[in-house]
Amino acid sequence: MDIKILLESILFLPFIASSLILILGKYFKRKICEIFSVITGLLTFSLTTYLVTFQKSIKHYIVIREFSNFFFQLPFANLEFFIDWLTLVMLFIVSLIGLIIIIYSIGYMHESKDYVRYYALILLFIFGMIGLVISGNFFLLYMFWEIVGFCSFSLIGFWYMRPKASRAGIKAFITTRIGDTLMLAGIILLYLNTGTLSLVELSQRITGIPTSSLNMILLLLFAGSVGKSAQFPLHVWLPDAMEGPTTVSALIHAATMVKAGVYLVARLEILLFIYAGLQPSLISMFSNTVLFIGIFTSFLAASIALTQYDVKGVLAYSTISQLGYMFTTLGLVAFITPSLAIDSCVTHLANHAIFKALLFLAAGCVIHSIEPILGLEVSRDIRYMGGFAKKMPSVTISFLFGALALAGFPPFNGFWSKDLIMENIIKTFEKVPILSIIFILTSLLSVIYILRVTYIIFFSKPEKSFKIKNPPKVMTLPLIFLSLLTIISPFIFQTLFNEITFIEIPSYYSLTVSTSILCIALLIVYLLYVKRPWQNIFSNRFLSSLWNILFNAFFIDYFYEHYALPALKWSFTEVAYSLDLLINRLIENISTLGFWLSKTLRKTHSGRIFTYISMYILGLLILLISSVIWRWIP
Amino acid sequence: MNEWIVLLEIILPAFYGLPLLIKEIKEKNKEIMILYVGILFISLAILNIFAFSGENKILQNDILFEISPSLRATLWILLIFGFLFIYEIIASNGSHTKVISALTLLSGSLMLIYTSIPFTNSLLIKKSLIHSILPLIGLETMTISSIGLYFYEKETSIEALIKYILTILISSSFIVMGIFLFFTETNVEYILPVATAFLITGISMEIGLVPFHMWLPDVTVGAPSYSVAYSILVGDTSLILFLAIFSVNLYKIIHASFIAIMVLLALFSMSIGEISALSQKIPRRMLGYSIISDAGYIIVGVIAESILQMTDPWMISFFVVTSNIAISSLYIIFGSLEQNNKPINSNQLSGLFVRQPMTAILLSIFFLSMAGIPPFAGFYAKLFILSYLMETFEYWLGYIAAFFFLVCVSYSLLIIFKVASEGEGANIKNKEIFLPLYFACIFLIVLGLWPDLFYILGGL
Repeated sequence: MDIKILLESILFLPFIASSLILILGKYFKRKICEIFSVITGLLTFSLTTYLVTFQKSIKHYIVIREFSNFFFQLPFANLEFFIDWLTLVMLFIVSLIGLIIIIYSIGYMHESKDYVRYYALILLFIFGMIGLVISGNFFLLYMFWEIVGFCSFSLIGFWYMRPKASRAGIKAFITTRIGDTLMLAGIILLYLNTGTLSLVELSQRITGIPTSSLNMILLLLFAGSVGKSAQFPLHVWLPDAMEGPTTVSALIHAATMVKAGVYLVARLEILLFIYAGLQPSLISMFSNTVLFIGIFTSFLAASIALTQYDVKGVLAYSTISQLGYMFTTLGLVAFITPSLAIDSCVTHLANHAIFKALLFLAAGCVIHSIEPILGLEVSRDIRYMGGFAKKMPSVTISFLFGALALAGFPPFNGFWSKDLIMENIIKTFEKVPILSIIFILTSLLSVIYILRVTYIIFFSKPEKSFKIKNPPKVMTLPLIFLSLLTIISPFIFQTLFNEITFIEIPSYYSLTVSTSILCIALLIVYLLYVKRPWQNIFSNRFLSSLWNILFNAFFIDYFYEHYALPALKWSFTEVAYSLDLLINRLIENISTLGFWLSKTLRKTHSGRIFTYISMYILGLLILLISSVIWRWIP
Repeated sequence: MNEWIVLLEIILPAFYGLPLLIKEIKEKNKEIMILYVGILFISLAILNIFAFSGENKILQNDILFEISPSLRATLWILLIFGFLFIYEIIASNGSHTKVISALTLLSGSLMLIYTSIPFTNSLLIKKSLIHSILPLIGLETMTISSIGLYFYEKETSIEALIKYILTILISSSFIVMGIFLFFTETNVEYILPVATAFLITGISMEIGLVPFHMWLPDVTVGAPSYSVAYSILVGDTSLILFLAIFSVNLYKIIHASFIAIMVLLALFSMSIGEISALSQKIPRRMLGYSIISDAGYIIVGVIAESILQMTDPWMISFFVVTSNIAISSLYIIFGSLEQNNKPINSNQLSGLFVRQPMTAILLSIFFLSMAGIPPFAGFYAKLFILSYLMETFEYWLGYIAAFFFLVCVSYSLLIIFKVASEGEGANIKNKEIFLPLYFACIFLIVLGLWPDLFYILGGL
């Protein structure tokens, strides 16, 4: 199949399906909508796999600008596809996770009456995400970026009748808008400096931008990533986004959309260092910012995740933390080979998508089973859970697989990618020891929080016993498939994308550090939650205060809501009021002056013919004199 | 181009009006009159098509009639709207004399359009007397027919008419003087600026540029509204295009003096026109001042086109056509709202939106187009002026023009608010007058959404 037609099909299939469901969905039964969505997901995934399998031989990249159908020539921008290994990895992940989520949704959303809107939005999201990763220019990328943002907003507030969900949707929309606006400014600056937004043309022209301007542009673009990938200080929307259906949390807010920010930075780095051949030292301001934001966010989120009781909240903070890892790796370009940094980031991105989707879907099974008994709010609280290992063995194994992958236990996929990151971080130990220390500490926290949640939900003794219903097969089968993938996915990825190192024999140092972390974390969890000899540790005043700070997410959200936003609102109101006053006064005075002038001029228009003729002669004289005099004025 | 057909096209309207003097035809009803005029305009359209196809036949060795694509586009619009506005004269119970005058004005106007390019070439390069006289004939034909159009048995109308006649007499003498000076062979360096000043002063008086504008608001208030509407559309448009074509070529020869004269005229007209319009209570007078300021903007456009050496005045044609259609249509509305032949004041427009929503909507659209608000054609007209001006790097003139555009927006909005406010006032009783208004409205919207239509009309 021609690559143009293949890409067009992959991109527009979900869009057409989404439109059809939206328009015709209400005339058909739920089953038909579900089957139609699954078929679309399956077709998209099959075509993507076909593309990935047959385009393995891509040396650098492929650019497609001419399309089979003139309808695809958008009036506002040239449709342009850019395909390289990063695109293929992202495309594969998006279509795979998308398909799994659609299948899982059949069981999870079977009681929702608004299934038409749900499937239409999910498919529209897949369209947006595919478009984002295959876009060949920044304008198109931004368009798809916004489509993805819109879907995220709509799906977070899917149950819009609930004020919390609706508020969370708005919060996500506004918070990401800050980053998006800065990103747009970056795109505009990029265009002003290079005269193009096409990735191919940029690879030739980007080196011509002065270093200071380039750093500024990259930082503005990175601001978009910070918003989309929920990094500090714009991370506050992601925990609240868990108000949406769990499937949405899994697909959008864990596995795919939040990766768009990482994708953007990775894409920029590939463009700069690999295609344009730029020296990493020239953009050290940008790479150091990425590194700082990444490591700080990962530590911050991991520490907060330790104290949360909302299972989806823990997973949300875990996502923020893991995304922080990816940014940290991308920020290492100033210390290690750029290709190595990008490779390890993409490896972790792919692995994280799988184990995080698995964790969310498994948690979704648990929530789904107790929601009818405890209600929507309490059903996510781990304090009301326990002993699920006996009730839901398949879900328990799945969650455990996901947790072990996240913790970096061998032979799960998280082990390979975390080890790669660890190796790269250790390489910087001599230059920036604090970086390695924070990363090791964060890794330790990650293992602790995920094991804590796993133990409490599945293995601890429940306070109350419920009689619950086991999830249907349509929900458990995707879990089993994903569990399998947590083990075999690195091998599959390695076969499909042989340009990237998905599996590498760990070095002695990194293996030692990783193993030590796992052992210490296991011990802590055992002492804190299993045997509980340390259970009174938090009655200590200092630790209790620390716990409180962590539980309230360092009061960042509180600070935003109670201080930053009111201050911003007050200053904007004052500025707007002052400007308003100034403009009003100015306009009033100008209009008064205008009317006064107008009335004065009216008086000169006396209606007497003599005046008119005098004016004509005066006018002629003025023109005669000026026409003659003007000739001598240089 | 077949000059014989063009000659026929020019003289036909003037002679076609003569049978209307016959008593039997004069007493026929409106429908017959409209049909009679309609046949003329269809004939003119056919002649216009044939004039530009077939063999190139000229009347004498040097071409007497010449036309550019932008002038051709304007010509088509003048023919279509010329018919609609004569229809309006007939529908408003205008006498047969008015119709004859209107047709004669059309003849003069066609003469001026067709001879503007040869006149410019002859005056500045070849010094041919015949080419210089032809537009003068056109001008005088227009003047005489305008007297017929503006005449009305009312004290203020007669007073305005006398002012007009006096102004036109002086203007004609200046134009003749200017042309005469252009033919002088001695001291060319010193005589040319003087000749230019005389010629441009003469034409400026006819158009109503400040400080030669004082007759214009008086005439627009005193004369019948349908006559003013027709005269603005046909007469004013051709005069402005004549000035534009002449000026662009003049710039090549004496650019320093030319710029001095044009900048002064533009600044005076824009500022005094818009500021005077701001406090007017009588909308017809307000529009009179608006015509003056529009002439100022056109001079700004002329400066831009001259500096950019654009021989075909597309931008000016577009501006003058869109602006004059909107203003003429507004004159028809205000004239139809009048009672006992007294011009209405802006307070009488209150509540029009409730009483006659269609009239109010049409009025608003014409005002919005005149103010240059999208999506109406006036927006592009003003945008073109500013964008071309920016290309010449004469930013200061662009800022001044933009400022006065805002003044125009403010008084246009004041009228629209007045129309939308509550109150008692005048109504339109004669529903027949709406036909040209609908056409004008549709035209302004279509041209606003699809400005390329103007190029298509020009045969491009």
